[in-house]
Amino acid sequence: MRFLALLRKELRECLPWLLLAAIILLAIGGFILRDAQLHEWYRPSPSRFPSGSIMKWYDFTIHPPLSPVGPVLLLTSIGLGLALGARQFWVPHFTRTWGFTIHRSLTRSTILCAKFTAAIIAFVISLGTVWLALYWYSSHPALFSMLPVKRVFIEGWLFILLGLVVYLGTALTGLSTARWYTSKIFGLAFAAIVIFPVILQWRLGWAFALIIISALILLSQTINAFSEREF
Amino acid sequence: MKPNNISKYIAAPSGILMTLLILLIAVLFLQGIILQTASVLTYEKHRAAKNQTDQDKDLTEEEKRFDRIRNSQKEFLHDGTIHLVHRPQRSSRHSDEPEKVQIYDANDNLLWQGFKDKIPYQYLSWSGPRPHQYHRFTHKWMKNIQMITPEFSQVLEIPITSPDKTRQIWRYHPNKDFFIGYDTAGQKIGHIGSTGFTHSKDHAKPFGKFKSFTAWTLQHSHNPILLWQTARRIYQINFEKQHVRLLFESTESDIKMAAPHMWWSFKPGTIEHEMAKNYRPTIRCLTEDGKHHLIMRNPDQTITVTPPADWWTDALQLTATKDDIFLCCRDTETRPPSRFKPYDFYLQWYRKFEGKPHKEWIELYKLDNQANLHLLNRFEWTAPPGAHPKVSAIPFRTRIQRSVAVFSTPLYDLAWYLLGREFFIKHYRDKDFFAGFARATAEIRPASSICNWLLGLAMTVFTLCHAWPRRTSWQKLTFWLVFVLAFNLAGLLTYLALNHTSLIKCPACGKRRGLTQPNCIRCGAQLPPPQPRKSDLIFN
Amino acid sequence: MSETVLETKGLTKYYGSTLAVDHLDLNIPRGSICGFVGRNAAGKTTAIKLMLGLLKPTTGSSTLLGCDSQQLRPAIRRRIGYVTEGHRLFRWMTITALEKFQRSFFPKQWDDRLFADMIEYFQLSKRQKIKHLSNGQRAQVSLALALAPNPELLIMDDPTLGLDAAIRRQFLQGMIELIMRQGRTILFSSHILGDVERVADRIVVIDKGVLRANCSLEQFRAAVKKVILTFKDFVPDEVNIAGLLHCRRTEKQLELILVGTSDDRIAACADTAGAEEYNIVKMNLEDQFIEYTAPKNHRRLFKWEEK
Repeated sequence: MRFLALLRKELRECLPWLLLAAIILLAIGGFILRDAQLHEWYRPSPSRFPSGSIMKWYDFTIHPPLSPVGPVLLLTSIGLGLALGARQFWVPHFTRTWGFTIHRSLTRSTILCAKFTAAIIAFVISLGTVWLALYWYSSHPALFSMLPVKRVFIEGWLFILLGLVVYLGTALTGLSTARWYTSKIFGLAFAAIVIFPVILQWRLGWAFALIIISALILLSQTINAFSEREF
Repeated sequence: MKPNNISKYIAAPSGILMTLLILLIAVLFLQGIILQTASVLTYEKHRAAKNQTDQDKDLTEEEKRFDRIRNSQKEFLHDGTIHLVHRPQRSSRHSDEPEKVQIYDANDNLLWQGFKDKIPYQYLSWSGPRPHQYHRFTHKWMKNIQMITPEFSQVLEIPITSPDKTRQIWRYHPNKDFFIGYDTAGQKIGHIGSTGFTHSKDHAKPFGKFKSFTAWTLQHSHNPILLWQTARRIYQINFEKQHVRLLFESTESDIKMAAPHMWWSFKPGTIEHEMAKNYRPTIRCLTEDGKHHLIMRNPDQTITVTPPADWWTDALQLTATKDDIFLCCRDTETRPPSRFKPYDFYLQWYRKFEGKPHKEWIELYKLDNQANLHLLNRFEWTAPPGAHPKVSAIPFRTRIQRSVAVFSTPLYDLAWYLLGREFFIKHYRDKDFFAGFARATAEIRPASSICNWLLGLAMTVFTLCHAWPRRTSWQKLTFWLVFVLAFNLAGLLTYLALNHTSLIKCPACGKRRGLTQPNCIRCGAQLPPPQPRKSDLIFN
Repeated sequence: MSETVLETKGLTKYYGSTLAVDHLDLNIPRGSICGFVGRNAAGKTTAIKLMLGLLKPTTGSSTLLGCDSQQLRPAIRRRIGYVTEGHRLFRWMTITALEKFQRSFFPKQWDDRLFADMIEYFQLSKRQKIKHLSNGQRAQVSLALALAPNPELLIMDDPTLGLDAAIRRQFLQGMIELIMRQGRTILFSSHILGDVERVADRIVVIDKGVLRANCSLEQFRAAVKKVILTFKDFVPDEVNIAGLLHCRRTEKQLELILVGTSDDRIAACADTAGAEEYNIVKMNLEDQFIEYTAPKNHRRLFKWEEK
């Protein structure tokens, strides 16, 4: 009951950001897909191969209809991670409500667990369901002539997980007691660095491994920082 | 062990790893900026020096002749006669003006001069080193399209079309390594693998480690045919006919390069179409063991050429006319270092030949059906010495590189020796993140420099002075000393980021001490309580 | 039940190289109302946070209700009420939501009636959001939230900061309400000595991180005295008397601040010094505190204060 009360409180605090992210992704993604459905720009012209000629390599590579949604999903995920991390770990510092939060009949790890659970639920509900809906829409054979690309669905989830990594980096930065010009920003910097090898990666397994390892690194430090920190 | 304790034991090494990674990248970034600035300055110096050299150039007639011979294109007629095609004024690639050429014979007699498109001679046409970069889909592009990127990965699809609409889509699945066909309703048609077309997924066999493909369309068709090259095989895939033909298989070693020549049909009325009448469609294939395999059609024939070991195999060319098979070989006394060698290799090579003339030659051979070589013609010339302004400019960048590399971790050298130069050369051109990182570390490694070790030692001494009053345990102190020695500047910054705690003056001995231990590490005294005053009103 | 609810031993805290709390040895008995006073930056808030386990001590230890502060179990925290400095609450919550939130942590202890009575007494609407409340109203809500679980130990960090006299009076009434319940202990820090005088029975004075007084209020009141010695002709620079804290000289008088000096000794000193007469001036707690914590040979800020 105590954990649920804390979880409800955290979810309520995340709610505006959760909704904002979902609306942005749904609106922009939906618009892009609708446009793709109407104009079929993802499908090159059937007569693009002239007879008696040598093709260029890019004549055969096709972007799925969801491709313009990718940057939106990635940026929304990163933005949501930053917002949730700041809301949960920076705002109490500025509003000086840590004392009221920490002095509970709960262990610190339980309080932290409630925050993490709220963040994960926020990501799953806001971005996960919208992404699922967009993918399902783009895979409808009656609406799109391109076959669904399962790999793209997994890549979308990679972007959502990257948002969680950014969230952990923001949390660690918020909990750090160092100065800004020394090591306080390292949590965020690490999360930012991790983004690049993930998106410039062609092996999905490696991308997931990178995310999991970096998340574990940030998570262990965040747990330790929260448990040991002075408020 | 409680979860909190577990996280403490994981958090400390995680924190060190994270901080080290960030600072290594930051140091690498700074080094890169300095090096890039040096490269720009080097280029400016080189350009200024080259302009100066060009202005100072005042060649004699003999030198001009040597220069002309060296820069001329060496072309062979079908009977083996050599012509030197010289372009007196090189026009811009994008210029519409027709180019003027002069044609000389082997004795330097001018045979003809005029516009390039009016040349009256039919020279032998050779298969190039590879098709134009846009026509060849390599394994690097295959990786690139699978790269996640913010816009997701792409798919490789071969459409089969009627004049106005798509009938089938053949999608390549990289993890399965074969094609799956779909009709426009999204229903599967079948699979195309190395054994050909099959309805059953279980019977579809993978093609093999993908290397490249080239695609073309036949006359009166819009549907591509693929020349699919793997590590050991070359296939021809016709999706419209759902047919796969194995053109070549190398049993002994991997295929290094495959270059088609007149393999596909050309549009009537084009120069290529006219030329193709005199040639047999060929694919020139170079394997890792240095052998050249010529795969021919009309009639189907494959011959294998094993050139002598001292030949420069990269400069070999082959072609097959309707009547004969020819091989052309170039060589020089001054073969440049193989690709991706460090700057000092090139420096040594330039210095060896700076200011000295050197010999170059070209040979034409005819091959019989047993791949025996019969020399038809050999042309030799002396290339004049060239001033290489770059030589004077290279040391500047090298000096900057060495200065900057002094701050690198000596572990880059360890990685270089363990992984080997070949690892870095192999991945040099890859565009993914790790290849870029490997490239950067190859540039910035200290190369066992003494200054690097001395600097590392100095940093370790500094760390010792900093850590001494703050030490909590001998293990931690030793760890950090070794850490800073191993990682140099990045290690020192990591240590400072994680360990710069406050010091106070010990009230007992007056020396500096840290606060993480209850007792002073010098005199062992605890922090003394404050002096009680007579006015204190403490009644418990 | 133990007689001591709060005990600290050698509690020390450094912020960087700055000493905030220096070897604090404190003992708060059960059932007492302890006023924790000190000047600005004396270390009161730091000491309170150390006791609650929100900060880690550099050396020393503290126990609350028999449990080490750094290992306070949830069951122990449930017995401790804490009002934070500035009454920091979740601004987006309404009073009802905050009540619901707080209640879920005290399912068995929560006194609905007490909370409702207090909110009604303070004339607050439960539907109001915290961010729309004034400082005083927020203080009232904080107190109600802290009292409703019936805590065994109530720790308040400057609870009347920024409140006007009327609200402060109401706040103190609430505290007295709690005092009436047996076995409750209160520790509160304050700058307003009048409030301490009104409700506390024990006073703890901390000065530059060092404990200077830990006694009953009566003992403190009785110990700190101000004596004016009037001279006819010659005024000595100083006098020799036990317990002398400060000595200020004017044209005809010597003002002495004494700690723990008996009246007989004062009379004897006046006689020895040759004073014409002497007066023991009655001080309120605030004056006593100011003089007690003033630095040695403290000079007055404004010259007109000197006679």
